[in-house]
Amino acid sequence: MDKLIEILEELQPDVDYNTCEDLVDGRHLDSLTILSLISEIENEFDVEVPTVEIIPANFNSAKSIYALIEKLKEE
Amino acid sequence: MSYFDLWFAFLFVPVVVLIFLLVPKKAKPYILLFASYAIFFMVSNFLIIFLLLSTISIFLAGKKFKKLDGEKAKELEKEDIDKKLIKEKYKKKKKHILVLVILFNISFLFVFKYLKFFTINLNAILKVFKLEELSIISLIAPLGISYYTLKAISYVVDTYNGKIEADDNFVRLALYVSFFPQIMEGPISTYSETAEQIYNASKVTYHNFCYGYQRILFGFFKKLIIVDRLNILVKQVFNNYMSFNGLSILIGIISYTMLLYMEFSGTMDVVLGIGDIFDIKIPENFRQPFFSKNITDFWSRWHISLGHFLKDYVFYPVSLSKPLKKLSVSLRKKLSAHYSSLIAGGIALFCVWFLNGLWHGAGWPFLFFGMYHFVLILMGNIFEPLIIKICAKLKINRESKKYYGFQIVKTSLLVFIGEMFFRADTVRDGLRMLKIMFTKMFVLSKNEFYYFGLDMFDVALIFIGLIVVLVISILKENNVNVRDEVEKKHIIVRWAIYYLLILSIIVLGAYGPTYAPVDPIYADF
Amino acid sequence: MKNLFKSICFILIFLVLLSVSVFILLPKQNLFKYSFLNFLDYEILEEEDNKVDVLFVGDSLVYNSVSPMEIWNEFGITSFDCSTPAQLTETSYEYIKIAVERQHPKVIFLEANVLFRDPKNRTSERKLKDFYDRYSILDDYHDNWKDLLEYGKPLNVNKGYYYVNRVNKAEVFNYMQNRHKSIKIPKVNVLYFEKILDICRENNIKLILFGIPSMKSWSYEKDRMATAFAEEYNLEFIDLNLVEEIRIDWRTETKDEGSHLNYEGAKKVSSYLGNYIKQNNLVTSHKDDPNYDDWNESYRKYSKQLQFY
Repeated sequence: MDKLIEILEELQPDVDYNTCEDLVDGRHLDSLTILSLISEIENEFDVEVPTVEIIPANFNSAKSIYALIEKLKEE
Repeated sequence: MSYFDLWFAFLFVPVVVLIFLLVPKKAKPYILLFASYAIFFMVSNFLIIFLLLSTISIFLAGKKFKKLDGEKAKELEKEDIDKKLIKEKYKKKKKHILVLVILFNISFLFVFKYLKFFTINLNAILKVFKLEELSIISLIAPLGISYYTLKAISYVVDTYNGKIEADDNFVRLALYVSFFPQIMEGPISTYSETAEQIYNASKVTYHNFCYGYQRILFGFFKKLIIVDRLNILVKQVFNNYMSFNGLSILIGIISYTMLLYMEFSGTMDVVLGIGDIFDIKIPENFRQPFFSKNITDFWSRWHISLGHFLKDYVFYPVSLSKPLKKLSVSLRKKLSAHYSSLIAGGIALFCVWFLNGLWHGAGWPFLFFGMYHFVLILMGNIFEPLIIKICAKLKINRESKKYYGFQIVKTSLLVFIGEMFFRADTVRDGLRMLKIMFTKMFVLSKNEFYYFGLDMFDVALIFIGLIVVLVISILKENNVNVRDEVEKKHIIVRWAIYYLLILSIIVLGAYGPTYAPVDPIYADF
Repeated sequence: MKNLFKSICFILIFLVLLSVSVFILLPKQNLFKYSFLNFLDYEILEEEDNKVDVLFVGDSLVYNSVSPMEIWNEFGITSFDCSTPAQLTETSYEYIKIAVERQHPKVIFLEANVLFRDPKNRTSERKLKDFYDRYSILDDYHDNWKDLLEYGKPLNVNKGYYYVNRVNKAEVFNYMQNRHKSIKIPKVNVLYFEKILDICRENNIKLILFGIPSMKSWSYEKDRMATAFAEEYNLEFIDLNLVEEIRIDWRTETKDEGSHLNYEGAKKVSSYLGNYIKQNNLVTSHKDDPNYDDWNESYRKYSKQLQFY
């Protein structure tokens, strides 16, 4: 989780990731940033994020992103 | 036809509502489907066959996916098998169907919309090689083909991915594809956004009826008071731009962008208003686009449904495709995270904007329009780290109101120029207009202002109309829903507002012998 | 139930407000002397009494081709287009009957094309359109709010003329050659025509028949037939389709592929007719008469419109 927040902060420093619940819906992350984020996640956690999973619900908070990573790891 | 035709908004819709209310619940979806096909048939006659072909193709594809998934699950239950191999096998089968159905649907779009442009340009090439030229066929496209084809594609892709379950009910699917308020100009909603809602629509309450018509009337206000008036000025400037100075052209292109916004968002007001009547929440297509910080922000506020479509079905699939992923992984070793993903993203963005331009029409100005935005967005992203640094050095607060104001003005100017190319007859015309703006900004000639074709009253009305829309936009941006606020008011105030709105449309509207109404712009795409 | 009551109230109040707005926007001249529908049907009632010297009576060809304001500006002659879409001879008669109650015209130009229009061939589409034209008051009058603000009263600047300056070029062919079409003037039209003659005789009005340039509505056969008809009644007949000075360019001077003229064509026709009236000393010029200042006012507004649209 800490690792994830680190990545997020590097990509877009203006947001408080511990509390923010609308990263996508509030347009804090644009699509290019999400793309960087995905490539960072895939690199760091050794998972593959399929396009189907790229929906606002999965990327709206650090918590949900982490949950997605956990889910992908299990598969 | 246009959604602003009086008979449509004030005769057709009420009649549909009335019949809808009278029939039993089971028959209601059939009424809506019948109304949708009636509108389609009225405009496009037997071209309705293409709408049906599209609908049937995606219906069958969805069913096939479902069947294959069932077979896959069965086979996976068996023991002593290579699960991966089976998964691969079924994935391949599904993929073949997906590609086939998408090609099938796109081929109609290509034939009706792009064949002419394609042959004209092919002939230019053939001419160079002294080969025989092809004859040019221009066809009248079925109503809303650019909109319903995208809806159809989004449905097949979503069922393919398992994002949604394939629909067993043909009527529900057909209604999703062809729902009459959305057929002409969108929004391009996804299956999960509207299909259930439309199919399950069961009542029209007094409240919803009034609520919906409020919004429809506001759309008429935009169209009749602002759009058809501004049209006079815009036509003057764009048709005779050589005789104007830069300032007049600037006024002309700002007016054109306003016209486009008012026309399209006004149409959306009618569309979403009709949705409100049936208690169907059709997704918004605009979110105060002229409060955008940058071009990326602008496109998340303008024609939102098209942006979503291109993001979900072009941008991510392309940028996360295997070759591009490999590329960005290898680039990672040399560049920072920001720039390495920018290159993969940039290629995907190029596809997005190429298609965005192409979707708007088969013509070079539209492709130019797409590429223009591609370059702006890419530049914005490349220079972002630099701008942050510069701002930090100059001690500019990037969160301040002043900075936001500066961003709004900058973004709007870029948008105005983009829409100028969108409207210009050829790219060269657009470039010439740009040149006049840079070289002859304040050179006065006798043509200025007076010849815009508007009298003092028209100009005043345009301003008043724009201010009304601006105030409502500011309120909306601050999360105040004006319609809900009006509802809370006392009945006298409320009715006074309605009467003022209706009578101002009737008396001050730009219709009758001296005005030429604007044809629905987005219906041609 | 409560909602039904509310809706009915809403609509009733709306109708009252709408009527008030319409009333404010309508010209008040003669508004109370005629029934409301008469007032709407006969545009000439908006004019001040006894000021119009020449009437042009006929169908859409008239209001697309004759601009009284052009004639006023060039010759100081006051005229008015008493024309309605697809006018029947019967309507021409009704119109003239009403017009002479308020005006003392010296000359009436009756467009010959109305004589050929058979009331029996009235399509239901045409009837529906007539109905719409009759009740779509606001189409024509809603823009009067500008006049109210600027002049304090609505001004009829076009005097019946319908201004269009767009070009929709025609496939040019020689429509004035003999194609041996058989046409006739329906008996009922002759009947009404004779009634028109009676009115003119009683009021000492000179009646002139004329044909207006139109590739689609006019023909060699109509010209022959109208000439014979005029001779029979000992009237003048001017066929503008054959006048050398007018010579319409059907590629640039029509608004709808040869059916009707646009403004460029109308200028030629109006100028010719004005000149004809002047040469034959049919009426006098009011150009410098202070009583006719409102016509100058109208012309100023008319010419502004020419630059604008």
